[in-house]
Amino acid sequence: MSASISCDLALPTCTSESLALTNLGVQITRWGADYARVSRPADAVALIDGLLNRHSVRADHTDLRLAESTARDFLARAPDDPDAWIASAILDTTLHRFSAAEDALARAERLGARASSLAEPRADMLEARGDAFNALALRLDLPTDASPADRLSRIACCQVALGDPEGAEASFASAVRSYRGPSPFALAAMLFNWGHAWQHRADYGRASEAFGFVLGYLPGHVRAWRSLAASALACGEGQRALDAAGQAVELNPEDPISVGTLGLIRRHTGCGGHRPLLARAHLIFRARMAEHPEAWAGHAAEFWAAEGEHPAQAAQAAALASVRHR
Amino acid sequence: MSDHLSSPRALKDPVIDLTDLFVFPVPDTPGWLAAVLDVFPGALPGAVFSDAVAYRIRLAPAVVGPDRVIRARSKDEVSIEFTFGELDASSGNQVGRCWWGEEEVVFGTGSAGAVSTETVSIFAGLRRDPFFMDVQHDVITRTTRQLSFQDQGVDAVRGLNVLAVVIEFDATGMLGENRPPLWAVAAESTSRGAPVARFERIGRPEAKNILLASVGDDPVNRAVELRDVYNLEDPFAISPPAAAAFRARFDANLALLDGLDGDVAWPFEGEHHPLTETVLNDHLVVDTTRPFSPDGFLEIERSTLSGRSHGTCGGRWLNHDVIDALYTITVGGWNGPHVSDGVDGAEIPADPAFPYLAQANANPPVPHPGVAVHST
Repeated sequence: MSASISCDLALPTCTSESLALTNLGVQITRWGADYARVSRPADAVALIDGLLNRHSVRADHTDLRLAESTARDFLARAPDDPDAWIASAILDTTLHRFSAAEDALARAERLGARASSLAEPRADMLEARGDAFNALALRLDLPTDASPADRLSRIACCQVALGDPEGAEASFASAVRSYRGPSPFALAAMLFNWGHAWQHRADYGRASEAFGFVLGYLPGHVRAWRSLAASALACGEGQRALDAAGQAVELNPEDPISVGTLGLIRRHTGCGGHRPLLARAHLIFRARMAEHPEAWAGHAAEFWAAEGEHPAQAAQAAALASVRHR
Repeated sequence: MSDHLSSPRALKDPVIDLTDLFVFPVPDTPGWLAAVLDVFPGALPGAVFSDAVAYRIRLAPAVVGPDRVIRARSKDEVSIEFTFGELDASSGNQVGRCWWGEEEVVFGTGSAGAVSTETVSIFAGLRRDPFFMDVQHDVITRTTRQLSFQDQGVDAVRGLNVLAVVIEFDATGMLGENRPPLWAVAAESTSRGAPVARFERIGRPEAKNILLASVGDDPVNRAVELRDVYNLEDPFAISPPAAAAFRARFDANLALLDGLDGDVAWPFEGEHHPLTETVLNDHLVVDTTRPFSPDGFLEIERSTLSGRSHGTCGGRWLNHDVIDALYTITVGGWNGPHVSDGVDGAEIPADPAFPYLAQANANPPVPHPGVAVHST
């Protein structure tokens, strides 16, 4: 596919979603089997990375679970390997366990991890907990192992968060220009984070455009569909929001955010059928909260607050979400 | 390891990672040439080609310069391009297309999709990796700067698979009746559409992994990973600034290899190692008029640099022990004692008949600990 974004850039052609996911699945199988047989650290790192990559597209909770158990096992087997602590930190950031991530990165540093391998996970952690200023400073000041495109796109997202749209546009344009490779995953991640950054700044037009580009590469990107739904709803585009949320649920009926979003939109637009969806989202959120409370607290709090049937749980989740950044 | 895992970019996506290029006259079929391009190191059953990548084999008439170095005359090149489409849900295979000039042939992946016409035969799909090498002791050798190979080496590629593209063609039909005998052959993986981005290129084995990856004693770029820069360059038209950087790195690593036995077999000629310019022109050289020979790798370059006529078809046959050839020549000179890495052949050697490569291993082993791992 090829398309232009608001900064008039030609986006590169990438491997189709089905072929890319086929190969990623083949590789995950291989890394999993190899790690099970010989416990090689490189296989653990690749396996965790691959699972998180696939999770970023399909939002399949089993991928996240497997990544978490692999990281735990890797750490148990190789407590003196800085890569094990970095992998653990990446998982902790994904699951919003920021203190644990910080500790793991500090441990990796004490074990001799290279500054360049620590910089990006640390910046990611800072950004995820809302500290875009220090995340940007890290990305600007330190060499990282990230590719130029990846690094520039993350800098762009920090610039959006810090209220520098012109700088952000320029950085993101450079990021896309420097992207070399046919893999849709890294490019889609760049575009998704870009959209997410604009969504946080309530610029739903730009956010929707970015999510649309993600879906051009990866039509099965559950998080892009559900984010597109949220942006469309914020813009008052009820039918578009309904369609997008419906797509997300069709792709992953076990994703509580998608199910909850569809239920809320159906209720909001008055088209009915929302009760079973809201009830189902409630149950899945409850299960997810029991397993990974920090990761789900924010989304669950938002859902329960909007749903209105479970005020105590909404308050509890909101309280947890409010401390997660500490 | 030949060209496997040969750059940071390739490590991120195996569908662009070219592992080997072979070209040779078709045994027992005069006038026909075969080329094999391998990609996706360590591929498991189920691995597929990208539909966003063009896999291209480029052939250009080869000319011998006043310095006796063989170079490609790119203005007369012939390009054979392979592209692939989506998976067919029922068969699990992909439709492939092969173009050269105005010609196009459609084929499918896997044995069932192979095609044969009057002028070409094409196969694409999962096969055994034909390459063989003791990677661990190669690394030790270059790290310690002492020949450290064992009598019985450990083949790091044993039992692993690749995705292969195999083409046989009538040389006259493809390259023309009045063609010169010598042709330079390189391959590349690029983006499809415009503008074209080159992801990887390949000519001779180990140009990147042994001769370019190690910073070694490079006096110019001690902290720069040159392999992705190398991949960006057109194999038949390297830009002068890039060529200068590559020369410095090749000089350093060729000198390192030369010193492994404690003797100097290759005194520098002026500022450069005598093989640097040949290595820089990174393509196989094949004589399209000669019959098949299993041991032609580097023979044409050797003869030409030595001021003699070559005696074989050159090119590169699938079972040729190129690691032994590389070490023997670079350590001891053209006539130096044989240096072996202790691995003399693949577990299942290639067959002399199309599509040459052995059937894929359904249960490939864990790659050797010394072998890098792709990330995503």
